[in-house]
Amino acid sequence: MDRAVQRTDHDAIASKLSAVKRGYYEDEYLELFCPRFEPRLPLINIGTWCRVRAIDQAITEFLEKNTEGKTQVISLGAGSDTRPFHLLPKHPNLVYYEIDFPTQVRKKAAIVRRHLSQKVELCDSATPVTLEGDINTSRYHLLGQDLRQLSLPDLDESVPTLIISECCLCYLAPESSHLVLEYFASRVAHLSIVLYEPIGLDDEFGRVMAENLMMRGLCLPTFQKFSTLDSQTSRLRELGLTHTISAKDMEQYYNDLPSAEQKRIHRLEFLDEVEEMNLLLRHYCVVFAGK
Amino acid sequence: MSLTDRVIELVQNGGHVPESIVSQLCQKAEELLLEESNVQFVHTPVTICGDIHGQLHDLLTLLKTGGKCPDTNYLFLGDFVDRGFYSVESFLLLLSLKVRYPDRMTLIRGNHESRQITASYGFYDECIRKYGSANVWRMCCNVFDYLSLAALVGGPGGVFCVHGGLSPSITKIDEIRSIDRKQEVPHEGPMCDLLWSDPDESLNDVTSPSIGDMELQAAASRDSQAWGVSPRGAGYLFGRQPVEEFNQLNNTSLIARAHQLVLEGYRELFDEQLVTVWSAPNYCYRCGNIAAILTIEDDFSRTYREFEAVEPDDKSRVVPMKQLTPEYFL
Repeated sequence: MDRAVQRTDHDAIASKLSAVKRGYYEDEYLELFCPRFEPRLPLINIGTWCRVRAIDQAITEFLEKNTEGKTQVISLGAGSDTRPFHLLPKHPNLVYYEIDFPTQVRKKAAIVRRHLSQKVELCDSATPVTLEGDINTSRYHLLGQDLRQLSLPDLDESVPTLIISECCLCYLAPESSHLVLEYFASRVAHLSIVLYEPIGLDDEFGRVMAENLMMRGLCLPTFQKFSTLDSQTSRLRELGLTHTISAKDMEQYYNDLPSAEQKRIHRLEFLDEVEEMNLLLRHYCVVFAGK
Repeated sequence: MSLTDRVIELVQNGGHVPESIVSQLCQKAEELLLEESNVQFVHTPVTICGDIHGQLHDLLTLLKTGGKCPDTNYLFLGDFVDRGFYSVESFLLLLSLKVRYPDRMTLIRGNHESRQITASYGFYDECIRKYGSANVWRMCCNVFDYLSLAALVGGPGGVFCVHGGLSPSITKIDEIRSIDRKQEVPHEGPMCDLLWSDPDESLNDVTSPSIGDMELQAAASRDSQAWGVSPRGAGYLFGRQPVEEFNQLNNTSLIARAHQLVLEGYRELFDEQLVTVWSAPNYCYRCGNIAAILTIEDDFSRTYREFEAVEPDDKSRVVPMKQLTPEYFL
């Protein structure tokens, strides 16, 4: 199961590269992590772009709200995500944590050391080299850890902190994912969380989805427990994140996009799969909440 | 054994159809289709089928559900290829039946019967994978160019059948007859609209947010409340009014079309003046939907039959594991 979960990183990054290549958005660092371009269907490109956009929006909102002093972003199961390399140079007060399986982190650390050391200020800090391949600079921490044994002794608990789970916690058992979120909720006073998760197991599409993912060795334990937008929202509320900033399924998110944005992407490629896309987007959600 | 019987047997038994046979079959089909008109006339009773999309095992279920050809008279509304894993076999099976029983099998063109669309939605890749070259893809695409654009079932009061829907530049069925159809599906114009358009119930609903922007007004000058911009990037959205006008002017009682996934297999709109028929169950091995076919009797009464996706003992026979593309967000 862990191997299968690790493979999801490749799927995510390849889908992102496809969306970038098709012109949905820009990300010049993606190809470092995914050298091979595998074109995806338009509905996957659009859904991927929406997912990236929704998380980016939450990060922007968080950073704009906390312009005074230090801020932290902690990305769970970050995989090959390229956000820190865009964000760190732009936001001098930002500290960025990425946590993933040690095997994933080893691969990423090698690429970061070779190509992106300036972006994460690897050169100008006394960087302790750890055997695990972790990177720790004053503003960037790439940590190889199993989230089920999470331990961040050096975490500054006093600064505004945003936790990102972009299709990550859904692969953990509900108790484990709860423990991960509680780890932060119990320590960090000024906490925000943004979740991107599958929902809606209770219909035929969801049933087939669970079955197909199972064939790839993936099970989605939280998909069963938090299968509605409401249950995802209240899951965060129960952790003390009572201020829900936004909660949408991705179909709603897509429909609510500014019409100029919709028009722009309609021009990129023929979308023959409108109904299918709506169906698929309806089975994912983005929830953003704060304390 | 005749050429067509051989193909039918091969396909039904999971065999590979040699390129030389594909070539002969396509040539025969072209000769036959060349004689058909843009709007092919079809007698009742007839069983109308929607999108197939290379789901061969479900196509075989469909033929069992509807009855064997030629015992049953079939009309397929296009989108035989792409998305599924057996586009080649599905199309060759239908084409063989067409060549073998030309008067009992009508095939009209869908928006996926196009070089451009098949290049990105699977059929091209499948041909390369199965034949090692683009020859078979090229031969099939040439056949696509000969397919009729629409069908008319029965005489006065009958059923107009098309893959997508109506076009703002077509009011009478006769206007379709003047299109030069033997070409790649264009990006715009009446031929494109017939294959790409969708009905939209929210149009003509005065309270709905107006899509009346400049693009729309330029595109559909007749009535901006009746036509809308399609999210697909080709064709139009059309409301109740164009449907009513079309049926009235052409003395038809129903527009039967496919093109859109409907989870319940079929859906009637605009007081049963239009129906969407969808014949690919569990579309893309993912959507969990049921499929349907529609039989139009001599008195134009409608019988819908539903069927579900095959669940063979060995699922990998239907969904090759290696090709199970990650069409989710992981």
